[in-house]
Amino acid sequence: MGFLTNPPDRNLDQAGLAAGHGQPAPSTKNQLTDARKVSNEESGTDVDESDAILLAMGYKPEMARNRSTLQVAFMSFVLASIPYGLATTFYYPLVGGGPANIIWGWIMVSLIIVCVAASLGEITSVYPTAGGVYYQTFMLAPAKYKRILSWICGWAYVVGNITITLAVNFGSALFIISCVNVFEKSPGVGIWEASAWETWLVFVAITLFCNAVSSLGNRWLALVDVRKVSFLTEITRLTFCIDFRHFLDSRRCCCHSYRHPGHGQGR
Amino acid sequence: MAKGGRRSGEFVFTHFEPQSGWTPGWSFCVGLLQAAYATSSTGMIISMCEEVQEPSTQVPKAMVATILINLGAGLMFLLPLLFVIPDLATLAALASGQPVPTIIATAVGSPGGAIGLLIPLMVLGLICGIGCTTAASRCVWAFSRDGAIPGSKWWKQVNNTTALEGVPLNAMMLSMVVQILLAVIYFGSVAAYNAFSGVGVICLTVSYAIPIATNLFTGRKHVKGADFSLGPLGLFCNIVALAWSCLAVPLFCMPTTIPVTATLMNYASVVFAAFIIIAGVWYVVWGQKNYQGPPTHEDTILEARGSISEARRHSKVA
Repeated sequence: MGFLTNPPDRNLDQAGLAAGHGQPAPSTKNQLTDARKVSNEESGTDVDESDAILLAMGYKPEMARNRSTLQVAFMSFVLASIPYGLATTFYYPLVGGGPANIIWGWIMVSLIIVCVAASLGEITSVYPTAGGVYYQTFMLAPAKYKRILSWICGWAYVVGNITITLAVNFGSALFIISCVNVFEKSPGVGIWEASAWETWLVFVAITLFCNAVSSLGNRWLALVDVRKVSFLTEITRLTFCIDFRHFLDSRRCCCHSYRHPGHGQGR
Repeated sequence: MAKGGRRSGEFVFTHFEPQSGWTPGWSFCVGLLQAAYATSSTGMIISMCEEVQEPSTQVPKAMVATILINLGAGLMFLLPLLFVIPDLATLAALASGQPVPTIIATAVGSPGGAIGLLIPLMVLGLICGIGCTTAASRCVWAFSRDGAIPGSKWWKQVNNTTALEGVPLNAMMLSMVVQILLAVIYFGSVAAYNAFSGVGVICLTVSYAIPIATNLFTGRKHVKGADFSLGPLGLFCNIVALAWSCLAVPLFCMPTTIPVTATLMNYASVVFAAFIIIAGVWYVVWGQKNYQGPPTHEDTILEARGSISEARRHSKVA
């Protein structure tokens, strides 16, 4: 968050502001429009409508509207990456309360988050811009508090996005290292005792990789998301299920404990 | 295969054994952090609004559907793990703080087999990183577009070359450089680094809560007639969402275990408080004069929306 303390460059920002405002004239559509028109003929007038609303919301359409519902759903799915997210944070409920905490905590929080997602979704359906929450705050708030609230919300959102990306990539670095360490040179001692430097370098490599894929693969990213993730989640799920079934099969009364959680047999 | 034996259903669904040192109730709440972290990305997808054809219905549906699918996927991941979980105290004492590889390795019994199960998770981690990178670049870009970030002139550029068409490359690079620099803190102090990475979820939770609260306290009048309308359920959802935010923010600030030492303390609260103060002061010093907010008015949007629905009606009649 060091960038917060930098002295703001007044001239540039005023230039930026001036350019950012008063632009939403229909004539400012850039060359992407051509591509959009072509896709319109196939997809009907939805893109035009969405762009018209975007113009009314003050922005010229600069991005290509090339993601389908399935693709956004998958990107949303990717952002959560549930098996991974739950794996790297397993420590909290483990010390917090063990198995019951893990299972019931997950069900409880998921149901609560449905409410958060629905609440945000309702607002997003009225004000769908890339700025998301801070734009919505600006629109929803009473005139007096509009600017300060959207300012705080916007910074929270930006800082949150950046630091969560940092946390995910650094988490990946730590996770990969601990995965390598399932190979042990002696009992309890992994083969790779990574120093801070090595950990940081693994993190930087991951970050560079993610940025390269995200930028260079933008045109194909949506596609990559769908195919790879569904494939991977299936694999993850399958391997776990096979694993799981194996344990169950190895017991005579295999499903007993599952159906009657209260009366399961001891180990 | 299950080298350590298998746990009973009773153990998996009812065994509660706090090891954190907190009183059991609060310890349970700290345990909710796993789910809270895993679902913290919920609102990030909104940043993709300008890249889908019908954001006003697609994005809300995608957000809600994701959580429901994830609930199932999460259970399918957690249940098998819990049925083969080895001794809890041993796992809690792991230096790495990453119990999953150990659980899998113990259950499978061979490192080779464990790696086979872990590779999909590692790849999923990378894909998650790509998704986050993309969302972060869009949100930096969008906020720059409104002139809120120093140097907005650069960060609001969208690349037009063939290979990178439609990518806010400068914003993405800004976000990347900031991340790499923040990660340098790891060399100085792991606790300080954790505070910076932990502050992310707090910030996201707060940023989701602000529009929801604003919407609720202004009488939910903007969302009437929304394409994705919750109807009477909306009020309930808003209240649950806000109540959760009120619980989650202090939770994210708590140290996982007590008693705390200087290195185990969670300093995210300090960073978060500092962030709010800096943002507030900066607003007074600079933002108040220079930040105008988004370049539009409510009326313009309502008008556009009205004329579109009118056009739709006409086309239906025709």
